[in-house]
Amino acid sequence: MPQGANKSGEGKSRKIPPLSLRPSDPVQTDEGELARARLAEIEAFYNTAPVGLCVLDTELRYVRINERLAEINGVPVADHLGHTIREVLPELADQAEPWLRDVLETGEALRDVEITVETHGEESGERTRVENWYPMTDAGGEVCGINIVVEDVTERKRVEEELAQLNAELEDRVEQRTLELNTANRELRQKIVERQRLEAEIVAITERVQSRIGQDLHDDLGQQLSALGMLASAIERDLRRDAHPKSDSIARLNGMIKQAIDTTRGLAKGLYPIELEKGGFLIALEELARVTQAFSGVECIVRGKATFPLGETAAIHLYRIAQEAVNNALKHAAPRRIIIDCTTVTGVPTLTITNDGLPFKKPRSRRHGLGLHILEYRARLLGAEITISPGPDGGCKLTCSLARHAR
Amino acid sequence: MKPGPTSKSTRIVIVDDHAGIRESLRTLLESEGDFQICGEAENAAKALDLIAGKKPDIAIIDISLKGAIHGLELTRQLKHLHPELTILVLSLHAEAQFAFGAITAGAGGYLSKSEAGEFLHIALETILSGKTYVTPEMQAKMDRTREENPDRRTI
Repeated sequence: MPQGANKSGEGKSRKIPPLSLRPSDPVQTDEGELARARLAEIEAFYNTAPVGLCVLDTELRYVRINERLAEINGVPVADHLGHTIREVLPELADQAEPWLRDVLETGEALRDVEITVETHGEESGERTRVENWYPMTDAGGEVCGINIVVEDVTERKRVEEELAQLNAELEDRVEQRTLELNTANRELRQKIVERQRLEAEIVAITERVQSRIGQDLHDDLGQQLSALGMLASAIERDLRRDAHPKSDSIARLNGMIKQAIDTTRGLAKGLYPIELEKGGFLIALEELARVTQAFSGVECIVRGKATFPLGETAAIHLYRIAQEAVNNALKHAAPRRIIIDCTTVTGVPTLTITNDGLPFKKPRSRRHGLGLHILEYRARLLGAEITISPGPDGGCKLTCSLARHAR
Repeated sequence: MKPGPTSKSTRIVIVDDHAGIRESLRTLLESEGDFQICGEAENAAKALDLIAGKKPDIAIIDISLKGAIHGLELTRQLKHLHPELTILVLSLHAEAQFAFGAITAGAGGYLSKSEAGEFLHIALETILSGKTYVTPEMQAKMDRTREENPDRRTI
């Protein structure tokens, strides 16, 4: 039994007495039995509570302490009772005493006080507890002690610290990964730029080679065939004048040479559209339509004839897009009619090539779709967008919108 | 046209960088009509000298001469130096714009090389009479082009 305990409530008649500092005090009323039972109940709860509980008197002596707090303090229950906290745990007293005295003086509770002390019980070592201090008053309203609830948060703190550590590590790793991704991204961008440069080079080389072959075909083979044609004409004239029986044969030969000249011219034009050099984009398209019709037998016309503000390079790319679209239509769609349209759609120059043949099928692989790929590449160079949609009469419609050249 | 006793041969200079074309033109011209080839040149510089020396009636000029001066420029210079010279521009191209170019430069006629076998003689006779000559097919093309580009200079 602790010394100096407050006895002010003793002997007074009340239904439920205030929690006495001396629970074994006899209660001399009829309700005594009930009160004792209640008290026993509370005592049982107190002793088995999973949090540390204790009561200190005004001299900061342990009046009451449960098993859990004794465990936290690392000192048996019996070694607490009647002793001050300084006697039991000097280190705890160093930190807690000033505040405990405050509670006694002001009568105000103090919550969530975190204290770390070295203990030597079962859970020995540096342990952290959170204490809640509630002042107790006697019947006269005087502070007669402190009711204390203690929670050992060592584990929780350790877990929290680990978590914080893990979080920090995670952040480090995210940062590291972000750096790696940024590097990879930069490398990818460089590769894309390099690929685009190579593509541009391939297109430029193709253009040059095509132009060369086209010019050679036109200038050399064309000249030779023309010379042959004139010779044949001269011979035909001589033979006709003499009414020679072979004059019809030479006329046929002459006709074939003319066809060969036309073929050469058509091929050369496909490779080297000379009209473009003279700024005649529409003329070049019409020539493309004429040659297409002449060589394939498929009707090919230029319908819309809007003029586009194009430089020579842009004109060549756009012409090649039209040419590739027409060739693709002939190759894959078996159309009866191909329509080339130059129109201005809400200010945007738009080239469409429509055929009425078989529906468009995506190429099986990149290798198969090389033409389409180069076509899209040219469009990118032009700042244009290419879409392929079903045509109004079957087949498909390739639309090239030159947003960059909008007026 | 048979050469009559009073007719004077038409003297022609051929300007083309392709020897095969020059030879064929010569053969073609000699096969009919009263044409005399008085000289050949493979470039504009030689053509200018030759024409100044020989004073021919007609120069047949290839539009795409190699070298500093191409066929149309040579045509312009020759018409300036020798206004009386009649010029037929010959070309591999069958497009209207080249015919426009040739006529604008001062040529009396324009003929594509593939049409030469059939139309060379009539072309020469027409331009000698002071008229402009292009084949009917080319005339149709030029009319179409003019309709579509009304701002283009007319011939």
